Amino acid sequence: MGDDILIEAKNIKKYFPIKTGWFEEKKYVKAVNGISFHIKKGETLGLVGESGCGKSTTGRLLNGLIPVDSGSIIFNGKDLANASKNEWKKYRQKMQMVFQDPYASLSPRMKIKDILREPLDIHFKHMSSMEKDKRVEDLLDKCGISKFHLNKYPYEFSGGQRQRIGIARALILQPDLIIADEPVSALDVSIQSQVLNLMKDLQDEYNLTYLFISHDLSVVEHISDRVGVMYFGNLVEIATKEEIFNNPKHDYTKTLLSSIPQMIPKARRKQMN
Amino acid sequence: MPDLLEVKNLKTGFHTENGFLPVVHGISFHVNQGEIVGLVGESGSGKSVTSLSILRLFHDTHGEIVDGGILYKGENILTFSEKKMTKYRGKELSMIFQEPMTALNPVLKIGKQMRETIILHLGMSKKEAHQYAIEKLKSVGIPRAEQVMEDYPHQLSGGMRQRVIIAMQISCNPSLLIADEPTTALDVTIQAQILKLMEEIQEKTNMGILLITHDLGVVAEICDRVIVMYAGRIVEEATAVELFENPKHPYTKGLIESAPKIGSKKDRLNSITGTVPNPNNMPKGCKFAPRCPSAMPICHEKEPELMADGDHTMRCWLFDEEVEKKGEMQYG
Repeated sequence: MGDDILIEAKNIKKYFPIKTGWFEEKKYVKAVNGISFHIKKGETLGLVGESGCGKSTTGRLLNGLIPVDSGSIIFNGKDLANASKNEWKKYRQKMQMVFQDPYASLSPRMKIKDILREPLDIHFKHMSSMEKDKRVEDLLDKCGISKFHLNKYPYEFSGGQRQRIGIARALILQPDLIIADEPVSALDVSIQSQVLNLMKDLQDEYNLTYLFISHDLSVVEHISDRVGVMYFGNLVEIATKEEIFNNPKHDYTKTLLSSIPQMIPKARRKQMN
Repeated sequence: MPDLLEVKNLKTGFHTENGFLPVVHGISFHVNQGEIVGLVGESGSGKSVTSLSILRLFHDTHGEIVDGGILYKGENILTFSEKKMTKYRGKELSMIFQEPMTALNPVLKIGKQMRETIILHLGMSKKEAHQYAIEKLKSVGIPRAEQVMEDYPHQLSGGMRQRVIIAMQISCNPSLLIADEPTTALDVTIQAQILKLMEEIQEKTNMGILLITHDLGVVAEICDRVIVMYAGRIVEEATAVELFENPKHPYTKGLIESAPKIGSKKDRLNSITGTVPNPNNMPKGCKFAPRCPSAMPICHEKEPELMADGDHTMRCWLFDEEVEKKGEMQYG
């Protein structure tokens, strides 16, 4: 793992207007209220917080799905703030997203092979059709989907398999950064661990950098190198995961940590106290 | 004295276009007064269908209870008339659902919804019911309860709504509370508050609680006894301490090990391979065998019965004396 910074957010802000009457003063939800952080190459930054704290908005700001109000995003040394549409297209190749709901994020009318080929057709026009097919097959295989499934539609797969396909879809362009927004929250516990293991393996193999957004602290602790804690649009604490989990500084981080169920049965816990 | 709730050999399923699809395959368990029992399983294990069956809320969904009995204080609920059942729902047995966003009527004020149950079951006047409802809201830790009575559900946060629902469900002092994933839709800090609240209420009223969840962390937090379901069957049952410290069934072990734990230095999680079988296409033999790391030849042939070891029961050939004697283990 190098110490090079892959992406850096500097004081980024996003306010969403709230609908008010004609003559009332305009009001805003301060979804992301001036936060700064960076992610190093090959590292996983976990972003935790409760619903409405702005963690998903932060992920979307990073890859330009929604524009920032102010502040700058520096990716591989380039400031993306004033990037043109064409430049964004180039950068997005290098930063892909994995979404929460594998039922909603795959087009129901496309076959798996078409879902995976579409990005290649757009970004890698020079590639031959055979090369593309080969890449799709290889990647799906790495993600644990056999090539016999290439001609199937998303509804024919279980939630865990769909998330594997979603991950393959994000990796097909060989990106540097994966922004994963609650990638395992919709999955059953036994499937969740399969997908987490897969994400770790892929990271080792392709030297990927992850921004891992989740409300589940145990999952974030497992996968992250560093962790940022968000609260009402602010980044209240960011540190190595050991620091955050063993020596939290901010009161909100402490509250979050004390709320995690411990997997120690009630009766046993009472004996310990 | 009979158990508070006894479910005997319950078999339920759905009528589909392709005929009858069994979902719960003859499960039996009980809940005592003053006990919190956890019913754990992944999606499709039949846990919610079980809870709906107990309240007989199952028939509207093309579902049918085909066999078995549900005894509440010794009386079989399944033989009750619909009129009698209505009297029991909310008064004797009540239920908390997962989604606090959809369980309340969006166009009625909280006060009206609270009073409705109280007037119906406790026969109070509107004025009395109003006061009583405010008391109940206060008892679940809702500040400014008088104002909340005048609010609509959308004006409250998720945690507040779940508190309102709990207040409503315990307002008629039921003996049995069924909570189906009561904290799944809530943030972790709110979840901790709600679990603590449920535990306090249980200690105060000595009611029995059946808590249905997929989250073993939640189970450990408040349950006394745990039932693990897989593919419509009970695969293991034990006290919470026994289950977490000495799990027997490979599925339970897998579930416990696949959850990431804070502070563990492990780089990879021990995951369970494969997926839950489709009810249309159940494997022969043990339903978990295709995913089981210790499966033996017999597991793919014959489904094991529940076996008891004191208070600890499991459905697994690994613990069958005959199988052990024959030395089938060596093939495992």
